[in-house]
Amino acid sequence: MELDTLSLTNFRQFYGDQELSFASGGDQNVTVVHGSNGSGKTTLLNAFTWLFYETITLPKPDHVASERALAEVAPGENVTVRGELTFYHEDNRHTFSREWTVERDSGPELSGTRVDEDLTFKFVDESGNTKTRSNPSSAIEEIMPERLREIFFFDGETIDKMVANDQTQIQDAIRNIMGLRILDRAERHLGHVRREFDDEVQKYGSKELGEIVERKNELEDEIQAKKDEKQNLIESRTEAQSELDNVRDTLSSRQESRELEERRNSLEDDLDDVENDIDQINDEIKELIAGEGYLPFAMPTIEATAEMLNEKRKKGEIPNEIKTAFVEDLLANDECICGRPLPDGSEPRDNVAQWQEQSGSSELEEMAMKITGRLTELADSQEAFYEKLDDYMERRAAKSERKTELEEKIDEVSTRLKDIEGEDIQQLETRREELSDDIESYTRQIGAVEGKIEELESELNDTNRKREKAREENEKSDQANRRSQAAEYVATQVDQLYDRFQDEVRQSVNDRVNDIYQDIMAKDYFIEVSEEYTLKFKQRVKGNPDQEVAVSTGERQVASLSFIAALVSLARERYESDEDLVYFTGGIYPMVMDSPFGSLDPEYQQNVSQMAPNMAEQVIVMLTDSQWTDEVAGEMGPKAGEEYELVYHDPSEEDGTDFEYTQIKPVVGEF
Amino acid sequence: MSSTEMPDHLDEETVQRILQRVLEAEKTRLHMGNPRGVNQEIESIIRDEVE
Repeated sequence: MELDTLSLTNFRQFYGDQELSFASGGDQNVTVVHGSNGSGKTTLLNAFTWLFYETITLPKPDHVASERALAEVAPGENVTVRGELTFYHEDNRHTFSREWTVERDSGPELSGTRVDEDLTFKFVDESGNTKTRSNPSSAIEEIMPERLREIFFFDGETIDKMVANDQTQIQDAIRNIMGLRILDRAERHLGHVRREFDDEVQKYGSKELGEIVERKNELEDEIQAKKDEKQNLIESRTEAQSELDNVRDTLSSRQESRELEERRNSLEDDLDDVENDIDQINDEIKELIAGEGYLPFAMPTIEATAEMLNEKRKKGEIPNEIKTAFVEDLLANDECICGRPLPDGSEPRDNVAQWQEQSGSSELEEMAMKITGRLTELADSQEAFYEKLDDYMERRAAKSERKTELEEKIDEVSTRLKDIEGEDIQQLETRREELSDDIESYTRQIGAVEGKIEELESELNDTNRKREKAREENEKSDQANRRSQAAEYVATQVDQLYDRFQDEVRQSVNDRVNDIYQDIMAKDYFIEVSEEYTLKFKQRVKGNPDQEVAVSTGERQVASLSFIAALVSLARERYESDEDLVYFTGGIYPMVMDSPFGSLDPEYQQNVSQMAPNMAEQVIVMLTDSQWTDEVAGEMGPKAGEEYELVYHDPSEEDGTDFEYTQIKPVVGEF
Repeated sequence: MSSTEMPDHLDEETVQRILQRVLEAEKTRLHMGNPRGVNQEIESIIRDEVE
């Protein structure tokens, strides 16, 4: 998407008809809009979101019509509010417009009610013909999805929250911007189609196969429901954790509670360590028992066997002078060792056969020798086993005692916090307890749901195996079965493709984010996009694993900005690449930034200004006059193909108007 | 056979062909919030490719 012009009529404080053109491409791809505080920069950002999604994030969001325009008509008469954006998308020029007819309300307050609206989306095709999309809301949603609104229309004041805990937004951004949505949909639709074929299997097939297929579908539905439940629980837990972190930060920042909160943090760190130690010991005990736990159970049997062998030795049965194998050989050869024949039924043969009862098994003798030798070894091993076990138990008991001590101390801190005078500290502490309990509860519930999912998946695997074994004589049912399997298998391939590309993209984003972040911040931190799609800040420590570090709001803002810029640049590269991948087409996206500097120091503001023009094909920046400093203007000015000033008219300071309004004035550039 | 093993009656070439046709069908409807007809088209692709 390449923005061309934005026209506004009577939108909020933009009275009358106003227009901006956007710079794009080449060396001057930046559009700068600057004005004093309150002049309408954020309102201008909201003009985009109102136009695309009918969303306004300002106070009084239903007050869309300009007050000055409303004041110029009588109650019951109408004012037109309009926004129109022209842009290029996939080489076609598009025009998207939203128009409201607002009737002025009667009554003392100057307000209006929407009585009519019109939404149109036109484009000029390759032949130069103008066509109209009959699904404007859906069509714009595909080009600029609303859930990515905060990515494309960047509010510098709040964007740091993206890298706090919101992995959903990051994952969504990657999926949508990098064109993976096709794969997502394909998998879903293949699932629907598979069910259609399953219905055919049931319709034409035997009762047995029909029941198997029905059970398979039920299990899949149950699994999906459980996965949705798990996801909801995880989100609830994340929210609770986020609120808990805020409560704890507040307790740490308040003078009355700081010391106690810090003490608690320290105790909880110690408690974590102790619990980890206990887990470690438990693992070691399990390993010990798995490897040597047989000893206490086997020893009585081994000892009884040794006793039995000893008896045989005392009786002279071991070692025995006559071996069983020797006697058997004589009988088989029908000849005694002295040469006398031993025919069947003869007395000499009977005499030799009797020796078998007295003879000893050579295997028995060998085993007896081994057991005797091992017995001492096993007795020593058993002793060592008990010693080790006792040691582990002792250590675990000590750790458990320490754990109890720490838990009591933490509880003591909580009680003391509640005793602090000042209702808000008490409320905070009570809220902290509630949130901690909630988080524990969510964790337990998640565990239970995961267990259930595992159980259901195991049953599903069994059901799938039964289905494979079932043979159908009915050709129609068999054919439907084959088609159902094909749909299922292709869906699995789509899923694997999705995971593979998502992971490749995550790695590419990771590298690109760091390139941009390092250019701006020049610190030795780096950003890691984890597998869970959270952005973590880390520092390399020689000889040790990388360590996570705490960062400031400003650093988080730069990280968010770097992340968005990384996605936009990767999507552009993919779009321009020669590789013809149906599902991974990327795209061209602008960056529209309101107050991109947020909480940054002047040095970093300059760095961001230097980097900004390179972040996207088209960059629109909205700044306060105080941010449009010589340094910032020095970096961004030469790249600004268009510059505008928002001129705010204050009714208290000007004659001729009772209402505030803003004019968009082009600045003829000094650059 | 689990769903990650290729069914005996399919071969790699057929699977890739189905995959590409399905993705093309999805791509033509990417601009739609609710892509009408895509399920029918995918069903038709599979009927065509799998006897």
